[in-house]
Amino acid sequence: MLLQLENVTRYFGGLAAVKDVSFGIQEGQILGLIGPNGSGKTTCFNLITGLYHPSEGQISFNGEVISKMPPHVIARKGVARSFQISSVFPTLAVIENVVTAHYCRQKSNLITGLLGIAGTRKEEKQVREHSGELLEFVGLGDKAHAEASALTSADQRRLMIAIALATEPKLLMLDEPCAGMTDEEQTAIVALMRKICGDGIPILLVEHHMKIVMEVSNHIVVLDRGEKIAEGQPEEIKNNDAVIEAYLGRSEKERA
Amino acid sequence: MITGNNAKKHFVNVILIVILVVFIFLPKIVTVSYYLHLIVMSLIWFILISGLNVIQGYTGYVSMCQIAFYGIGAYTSGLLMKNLHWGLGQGILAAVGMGLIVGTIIGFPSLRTKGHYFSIVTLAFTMLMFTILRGWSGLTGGIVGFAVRPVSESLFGIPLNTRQGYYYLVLIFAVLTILFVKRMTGSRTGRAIIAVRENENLASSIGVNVFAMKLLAFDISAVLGCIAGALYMHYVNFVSPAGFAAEYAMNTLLAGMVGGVGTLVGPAIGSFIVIFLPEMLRAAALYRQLAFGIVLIIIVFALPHGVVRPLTKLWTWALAKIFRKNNVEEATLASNK
Repeated sequence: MLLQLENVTRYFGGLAAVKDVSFGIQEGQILGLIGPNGSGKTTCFNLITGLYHPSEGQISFNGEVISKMPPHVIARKGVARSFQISSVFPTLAVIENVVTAHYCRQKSNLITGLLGIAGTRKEEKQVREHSGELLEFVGLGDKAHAEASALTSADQRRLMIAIALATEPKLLMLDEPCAGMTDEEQTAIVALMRKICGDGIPILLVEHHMKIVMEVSNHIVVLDRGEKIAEGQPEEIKNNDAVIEAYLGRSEKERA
Repeated sequence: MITGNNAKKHFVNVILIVILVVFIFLPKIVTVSYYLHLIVMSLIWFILISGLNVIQGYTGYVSMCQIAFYGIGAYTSGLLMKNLHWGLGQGILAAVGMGLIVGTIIGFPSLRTKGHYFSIVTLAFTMLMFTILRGWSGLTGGIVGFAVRPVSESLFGIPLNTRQGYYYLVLIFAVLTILFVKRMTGSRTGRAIIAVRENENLASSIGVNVFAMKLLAFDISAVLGCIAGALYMHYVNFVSPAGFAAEYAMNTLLAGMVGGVGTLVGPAIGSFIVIFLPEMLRAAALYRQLAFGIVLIIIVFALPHGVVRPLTKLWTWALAKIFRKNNVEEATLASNK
């Protein structure tokens, strides 16, 4: 297992936002994390990325316990994430957003940067080239010099993926990457996710569009009120009574 | 500026060299000694405000204690000269060290607060510093302050106890400051600092240690403030607490806002305005302070991002006119910087 949650519980006040949740993600997987609003999906994200720490249980990444580490250390270990609400560096150019995100894989420091020594200059050049490639990859090649805040929300979500990829992650976590997108835009993101996974970066996906989750994931974990109620292949989840009851609802089943 | 246009780059470099040459020959052009004095003061303030710019403009934390660092730098090098007979160079180095120490001590608790709270904490530090400088009479000379002998060093054969000589010393420090800020903001570390201003959560998700970057930026602002203070001390050879009171924290803030923070030249323009404007308004005699206030209010209202914003727009427009090859996108982007 690349990432493993073991009996993770997190209380806010007396309330358990996440309760005794265990699951893992392997190389080559796209794992869909689903559940109704308030079921603890984003809390799970924030626990894994170190914004919160578990009250009980532990999280390990690559065989190392990360549940007590601060966010920037976990990011440096290779966990990259996008945020539920559009989260970019708003007043910077799109390309500068991606260049900035190379931070955790660059070696230069303030002194070498000030002196402008050859190694640093070479590294800067590589980072700029790689940033351009990443923008092409997510489909923002033609908007490299626009200000990030001027992008449409769909484009900002692409930019968030480029920012996450710039950290050269071992695991990519996407929190509703298709929110507010048209059908064509969604299709493009699905293709993008497949390409990323094909390039060897497993994805942990939170998404509200059931169609997308069912289509793209090869493993699904279902949360309800902070607890894991089911886990399995998309087909199994579709026909799981507990899931239909709690998440999809009866009318959904009838429609299907 | 993101542009591959070599001719344009060349042109910009030529302009920069021309500006530098003008500054080098300025003492020959400006024959009224008093104006040279104002220029020296503006350059010292430019260093001071560049420090403020690092924490306020690039990191996004409005600091109200830049004037306190100015005072700490002045008193540090002044006291070392008076009591231990240290020279100018040693005094400036000591001011740098003091900036790092005090910056870290003050930054550690205050940078845990955000927004207005950070401004209030730093303002409180400025008031505390003023009280110490005034109250610790045994060391600081209390409210009357103390004087030191003029510096005995010289620069390229020009004695530094002359106004011209000191002008060149301050000019060198100002040029080093602008080079430092330019290099720093273009480096990996500088981008991390800007990332903190833009979006702290996203910054930590790309591996930036947000608190460490804030502390680094605050230390840089403290060091630049202390250097400016030491340069001021050995220029006027006298220091008293009056110039470092909390109301002057407003002047640093104004110099930043009027010029435009988050830009390289904004602090320069702001510093010249804040130093020169009150002198230009001497005609208003009794109403000078009032006129100063009104003019500043007008500037801040009309140009909320500082004087530098329309100037860069004009500049990119002029460049685009000269080099028609550039596309519109580049021009608009550059004007946003």
